[in-house]
Amino acid sequence: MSFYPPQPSSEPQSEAELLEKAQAIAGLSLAQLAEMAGVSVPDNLQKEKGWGGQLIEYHLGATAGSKPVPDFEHLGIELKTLPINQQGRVLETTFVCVAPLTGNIGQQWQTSHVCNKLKRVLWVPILAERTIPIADRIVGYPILWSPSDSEYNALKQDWEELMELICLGKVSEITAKHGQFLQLRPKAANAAIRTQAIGQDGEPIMSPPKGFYLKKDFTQAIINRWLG
Amino acid sequence: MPIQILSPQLANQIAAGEVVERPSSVVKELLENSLDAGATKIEIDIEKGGSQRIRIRDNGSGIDKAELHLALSRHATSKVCEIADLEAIASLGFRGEALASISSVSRLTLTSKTAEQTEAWQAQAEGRDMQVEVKPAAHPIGTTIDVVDLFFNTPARRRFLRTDKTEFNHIEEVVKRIALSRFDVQIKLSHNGKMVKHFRSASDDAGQLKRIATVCGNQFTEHVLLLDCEYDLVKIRGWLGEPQVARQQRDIQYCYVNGRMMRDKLVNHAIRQAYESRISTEQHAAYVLFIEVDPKQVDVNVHPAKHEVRFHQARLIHDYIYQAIHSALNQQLVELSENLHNQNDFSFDQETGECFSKDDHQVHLYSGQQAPSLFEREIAEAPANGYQPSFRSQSHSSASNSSVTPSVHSQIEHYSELVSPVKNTEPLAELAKVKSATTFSEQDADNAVLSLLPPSQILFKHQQKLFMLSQSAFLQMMLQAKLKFTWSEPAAKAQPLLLPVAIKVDQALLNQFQLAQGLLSGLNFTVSIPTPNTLVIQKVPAIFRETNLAKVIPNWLQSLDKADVDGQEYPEAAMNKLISVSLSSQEELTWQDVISEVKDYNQISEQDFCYHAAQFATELPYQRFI
Repeated sequence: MSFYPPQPSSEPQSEAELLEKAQAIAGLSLAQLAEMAGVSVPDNLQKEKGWGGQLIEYHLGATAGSKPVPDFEHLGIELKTLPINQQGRVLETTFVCVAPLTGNIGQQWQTSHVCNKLKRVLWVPILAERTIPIADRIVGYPILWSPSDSEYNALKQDWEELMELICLGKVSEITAKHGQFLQLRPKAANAAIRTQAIGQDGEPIMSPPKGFYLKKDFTQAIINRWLG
Repeated sequence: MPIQILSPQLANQIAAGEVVERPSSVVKELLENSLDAGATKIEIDIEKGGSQRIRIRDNGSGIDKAELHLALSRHATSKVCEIADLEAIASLGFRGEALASISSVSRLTLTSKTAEQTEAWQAQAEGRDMQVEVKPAAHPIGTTIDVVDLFFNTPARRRFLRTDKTEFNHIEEVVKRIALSRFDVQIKLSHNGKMVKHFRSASDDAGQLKRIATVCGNQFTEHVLLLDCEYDLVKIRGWLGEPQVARQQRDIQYCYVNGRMMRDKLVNHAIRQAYESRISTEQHAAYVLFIEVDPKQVDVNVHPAKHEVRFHQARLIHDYIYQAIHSALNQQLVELSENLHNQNDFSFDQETGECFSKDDHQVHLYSGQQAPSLFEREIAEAPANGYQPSFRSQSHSSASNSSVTPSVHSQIEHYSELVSPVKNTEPLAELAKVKSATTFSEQDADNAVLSLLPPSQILFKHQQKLFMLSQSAFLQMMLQAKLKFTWSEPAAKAQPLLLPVAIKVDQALLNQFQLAQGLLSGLNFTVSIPTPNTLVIQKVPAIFRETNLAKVIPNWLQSLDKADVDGQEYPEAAMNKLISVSLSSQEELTWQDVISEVKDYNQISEQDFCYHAAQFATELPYQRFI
């Protein structure tokens, strides 16, 4: 039993320490966490999509930010917040990382960012039903997770399929329906943003930036398995 | 029209529609047959653009007399014999359709002699049933196929033929493509009796380059880079035209996969990408490229004319081709200007292709993000508050080359880095589950709930006796039994709540909490105090998982007296208070609720049930119900 307020602190040095930190903030509201961090709670998250995640990162001492390496790089652990409702249903897909549309030559699953980020994940559920004001949203109990063999292989298959489309110039044909668990969706502040990609004939084209997302089925299965 | 089986001739003519588009397709099919037969000398005689005559003579292995009639039948081939062969096709042809198709739309004569035979034989197929007639003939070892009057019986197709000159140009193009694929084969091409091309067999680089010059012109061979690299399952050899000899047309693009000439999208895509930014969008790279892959890694049975193939590991092959060409072109650039790459302030991350600025203190934006988020701005401005988060960016360049040119070999090594899948490592240590009920049969069980008696009464039997129990008493009893079990059983594990419950507390309640700490930990509650006015219930005994803890726990804490928590073996008073606050919020039970409660109960202990049933239940005279 811990009776001390969690000190927002430096990078955790071990998996156990990270888990302890995450457990220490479980049950607190975002308002309480924001107060402890000395930041204000935004009125809505439309414009500040990653606010919740960043707040949690801050409290757990993550350093990687939005870089393509795990949040806790030296521990090899990625932090992911998971919006759920009161009944424990996952409410949204989970952003994994930006999908590189160029420079993928020789890219392999084992060295890919998706694989890197999903090797070991600290899932932090957040009670985030739309009806609950942001300040009152509650941080859930952390789940430290690694993919099972079958999950790993399913992710790998999805990734291979999506990367093939990206690399062979079919990025514009990709819809969220590709992939069983991993999907590729536009990832940008607005629809006008474009980034470089590769076209049908190997020529450079402009495409909306894409991100890898985990479908809800996948994260729900993690929660369900944890609940037993 | 009734349904009927097509005559062999008509079936072949239909197939010919796919395979034999124009004279040059006949030449292609026949040349491939010659090469598959191991010919080293091939003579091609064309008359009137091929519409009058296409004669191809080779010194290959020839066809045995007994097989001659089969050679002209459809679906007859010596190149595959079972489905497994299709998975690794090493020959150029394999469908067994070419000769039958061609002979159905022309007058075809096949003359052949094998090394074993003392005489040559000639075969010709005629009529609706394509009966094959075999006659003796004079011919050296090898095969001659004489195709006369192409499309004489298919006027529709004949009308599509262009001028003799155009058709011959197509033939010449086919011959050139095949000539480039086999430097070791001597090929002569003549039109209307005049020798047009003579490709001598070339064994050394100079001879090969000469043949390339014959096909692609001297300008190409003077500005060419030799490419030769091999990795595991892919081998690439070829000549790349330097960017300055890029063409306005796609006329010097010769690509071969396992010796088969190819216009494959994937290969073209990779090559185009490799030349990117070296040639303009209107230009086309010039190249002669040979790609060798394990036949098992490629499916050629995709396109009737076999212009396309399908690679099993399409992306890896694509990337490999790109890389090979890209680095060869770069190598040339490096030689041109050594200092080209020395001015870069960015480190190039090979894996992402992203450039990281070396400025350490900048907030990093993902692609598409235009400005730092509110959080990032606030936290960057915030005064030292406990600690400063380090949004320290590490430049991931240490492992990468300082040169933009990735070393081919280091990149290629990525292919072989086969890391074994991550095993599912140990689950949360705290996570343990109370076994759920396994089997429960109402007939067998000693404790059986028989019925619900409205209002709020439960009828159940126990050891041949009937009991009636009020719903509240039933729940009370169940809860008491469970509490007792949890209290006394060290194996009863706490379960973390997915959504821990925070309770606002004042000083008074905090004091009560201090008082009840022993009780809470005895029952396997885990409660933390993250801020001075908040209690957070993080783990609970299994029985409280569904309880409204935010209400029950504060009510219970408030109701506790000092006397309740004294060091007894089982703090009955405190537990009874917990039971009463827990049950006050209960609603009417359904049959399902009762059944699941009893299931749970059976898991705990029969003795407990007896003990408690006796306390609460009213025993009913058994006879009244019989």
